[in-house]
Amino acid sequence: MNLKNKKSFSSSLFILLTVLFCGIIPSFAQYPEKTITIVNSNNPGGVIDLMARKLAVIAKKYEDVNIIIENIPGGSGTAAMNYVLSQPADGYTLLATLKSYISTGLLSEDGVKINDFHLLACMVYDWEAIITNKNSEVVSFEDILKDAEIKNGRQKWLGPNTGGLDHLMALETWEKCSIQARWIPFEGSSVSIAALLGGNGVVYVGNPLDVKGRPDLHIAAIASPNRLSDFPNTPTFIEKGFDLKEQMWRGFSVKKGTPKNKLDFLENLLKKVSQDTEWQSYIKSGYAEPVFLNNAEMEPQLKYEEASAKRLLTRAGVINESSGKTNKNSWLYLIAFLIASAAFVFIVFKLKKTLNDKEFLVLVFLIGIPLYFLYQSSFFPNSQKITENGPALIPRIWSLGLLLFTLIYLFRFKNIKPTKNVSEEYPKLLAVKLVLLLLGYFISILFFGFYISTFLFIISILWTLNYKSILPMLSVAFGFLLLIYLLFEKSLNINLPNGIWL
Amino acid sequence: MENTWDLIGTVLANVLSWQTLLIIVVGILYGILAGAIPGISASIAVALLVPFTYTLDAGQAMILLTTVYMASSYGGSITAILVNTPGTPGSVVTTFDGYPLTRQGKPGLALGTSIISSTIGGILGTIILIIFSIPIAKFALSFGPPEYFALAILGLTIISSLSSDNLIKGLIATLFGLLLTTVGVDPFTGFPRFTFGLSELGDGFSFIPALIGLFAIGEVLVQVETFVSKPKEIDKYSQQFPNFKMIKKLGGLIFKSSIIGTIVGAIPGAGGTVATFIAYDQAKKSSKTPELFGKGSLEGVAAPEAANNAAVGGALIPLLTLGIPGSASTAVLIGALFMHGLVPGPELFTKQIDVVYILFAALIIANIFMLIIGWLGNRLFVKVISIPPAILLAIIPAFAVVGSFTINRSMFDVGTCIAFGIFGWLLKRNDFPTAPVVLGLILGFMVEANLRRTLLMGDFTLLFTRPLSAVMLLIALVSFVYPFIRKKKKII
Repeated sequence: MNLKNKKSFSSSLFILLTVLFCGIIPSFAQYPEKTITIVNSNNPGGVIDLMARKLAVIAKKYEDVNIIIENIPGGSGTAAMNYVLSQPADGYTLLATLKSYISTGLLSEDGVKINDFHLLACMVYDWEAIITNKNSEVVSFEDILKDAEIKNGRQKWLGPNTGGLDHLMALETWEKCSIQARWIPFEGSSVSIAALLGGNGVVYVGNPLDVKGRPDLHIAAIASPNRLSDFPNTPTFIEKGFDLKEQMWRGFSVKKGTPKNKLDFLENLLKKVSQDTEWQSYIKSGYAEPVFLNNAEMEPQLKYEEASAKRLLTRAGVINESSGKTNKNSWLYLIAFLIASAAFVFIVFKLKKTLNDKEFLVLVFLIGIPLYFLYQSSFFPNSQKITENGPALIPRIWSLGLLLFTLIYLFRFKNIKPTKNVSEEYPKLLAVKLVLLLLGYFISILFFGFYISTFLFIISILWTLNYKSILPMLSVAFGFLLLIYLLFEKSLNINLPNGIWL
Repeated sequence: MENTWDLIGTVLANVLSWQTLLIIVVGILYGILAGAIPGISASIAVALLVPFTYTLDAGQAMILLTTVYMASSYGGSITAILVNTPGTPGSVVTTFDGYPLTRQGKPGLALGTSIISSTIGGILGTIILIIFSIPIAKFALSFGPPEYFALAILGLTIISSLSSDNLIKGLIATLFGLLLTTVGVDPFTGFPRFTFGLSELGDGFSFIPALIGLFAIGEVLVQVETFVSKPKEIDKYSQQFPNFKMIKKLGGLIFKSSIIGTIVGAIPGAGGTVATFIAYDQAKKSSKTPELFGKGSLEGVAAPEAANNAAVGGALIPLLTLGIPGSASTAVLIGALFMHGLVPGPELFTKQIDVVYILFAALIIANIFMLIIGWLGNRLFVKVISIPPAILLAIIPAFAVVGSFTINRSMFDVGTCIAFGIFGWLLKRNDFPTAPVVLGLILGFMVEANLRRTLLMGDFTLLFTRPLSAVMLLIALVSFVYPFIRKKKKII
């Protein structure tokens, strides 16, 4: 090897080693080297939130890991799911996962699915139960069957929103026990229980924890394979001759694409927590069962549960051919209806020789929007008959009412005098400037984050309003931002948006 | 507990300990501050504090969280009165007369009436909770879908009070609010309605950002149109607080509003906000000067504030007697109490009666502390009117943005707030009242869900055959027509 070749060999080796070193270093970096966030869709104090908080405490016993909990409620879990998907797949953002996210995914409009996540482990089985009011005539499982027969399809079952796990449990029970009944959904489990206690239905679908502290409630049957030790007198469906096992499981997931070494670490950690006695007694205190099923063990179960949910929801008409139809070009239709109503209002104004520019825009909205709602509601399921108790019923009533009164208003007033005058021009221009600044502020937050945008916004408004002393301007902007930082970020642990570019 | 004296001893020892008093003071300061920040409603204020209660024992945690609930219900009125920005949904109605009083340079009168009414309402609500919780809980349980529907309709009749000057504009604004509540996934069929394929609209428009937009940003835009750069001066009028004579005059109204607040607050799903509208409506109907409502009536401040804070005691009734939360805040509370090993419900009275009575005593003491802190704070709050308007007009929208974002950590909510703000401005410019839009937003879901539940349960005749529902619908009819008859009589 000559000198030149030697030199080039050494350089190549150096580059190769540098590349390898740079590539290897991160994979050898200690994980976790920063705080892990568990996102959940409950408010603080909810079942899944408390479970995540307990996990954070117990995990510290086994690994030097700092875990914080973030609550992102909304959209039956879609808000939390979308948030986790918006974060990098680096193992630092976990999703506290519920079985009900399967149906959330099936019904979601933006395509978020439980399959977008890698389920690390399922850690809790909370068995589903059918619950009755002890003070009513229908208490036992046999009573329910008998009552259903008498009422012939008019028996009322109560629970949270349609399409949720409790609704699926009801559908499965009806199918397996040959019951014909009606599902009456409420805003949540508490309001459903109040309705049960008030005699507005005969069965509530929930979990054993729902009877805790409520002596008037009775579990008629539980969908567990065996009787629960806390409820030794409560029969299972299997005992009653119906092959029905159903549970709300809870676990933890990460975004798909998370490196394997991090998946292994997290799975291991969750396994250690699941064997911890404090964890087990905590889960049991909520009448649930602590379990540990890893990703490989849950994979076939997830597939089965998704297929089953799809079948039941389709059978109940929740997933139907109308799903998704209304959204096609819906923005375009809205704009078209607004343009049409603008033309209509313009013609009416012309005919009435009115030049009331102030009212023009409001009237365009008040006519265009209900027209659009009426048009869209014709695509809703069960919307053929105007009086049908379907999703179109109420929007149609309000739309027609709004349209009627707006038209009365439009035609009632004659020769409204133009309100425009010179003295109003300047303040009106100011208001329009402020509207533009607000819109700019919103867009700026998306790109530059809250702090820079707010600073610029405050300065701009003050400048626009002729408040131009530099020092007070800066003091107001910095003082406000400091207050917000201390109050929201430091005291309340609320991270304000960072923006795409920062 | 072996006997009553032991129980009293335990309760007093706990409540009067310096730790408990400190917890109450901290809870009130935090609650007032949180309530005054737009976007942080009472339930969010309680929820945000839950993780900080882990180190406290169960009784102390319960006291802290209920104190915060109480104080934040009052705190919302401060920004409602001073800058037309309701800090919590329960203080929307307070803006109707509180803000006009500030515009007239009398913020002290509005703030003073608010703290006194809130305190009396809070104490009366607690007393009713202690004495009448069982019958009220039974009454609350008698509310099924037909009764909720009738209650919502009764609530909607308030538009005749809110817009008797121009009923047609009031009806249009209400119907617009009602129509907007149909956006989102239909809870009965799971079908997405008017969502444009956006998952953010799955739950419909977020109520609080819409509210902040309509009131805070809408008002800022209106103010800019009549912009005066000079701030108001702090004078003897702005520093004037209500005297004993004024309060005595309002006594009957505060009492009546507190009862309305407690009962409506005890009905799960109805809540303090609905109670404030009903109390305001009743106050206007029984007032000797109804024409002052909406223009700066002290009665218009006292009624909703008393009802709002009495509703805290009301919401605790189903929680403590049935284990069912009566409001969003008590729903958070129940989870937090579970975490501390307390099981709210009838068993609490049998197994941990001392905790229940400690809570009752702490609530009374919390109200007294709230009065002192609020009264002293008012001296400071009135100074807001001396801030140059340009600064307020710059800061309020920024605060509105933070508040809207905080609720769901969502920029979509920020967009909702700004859009509703611009729409609110357009409505106000054309003399369309914005209050009925909010009424529609509050009651829309309640009307739809309960009408459709009633139809699922049988048919619409249930609305008229169930006595309570029939009576409420009749009252609603009378209530709607009454202002017009009264107006006609006056003209004649």
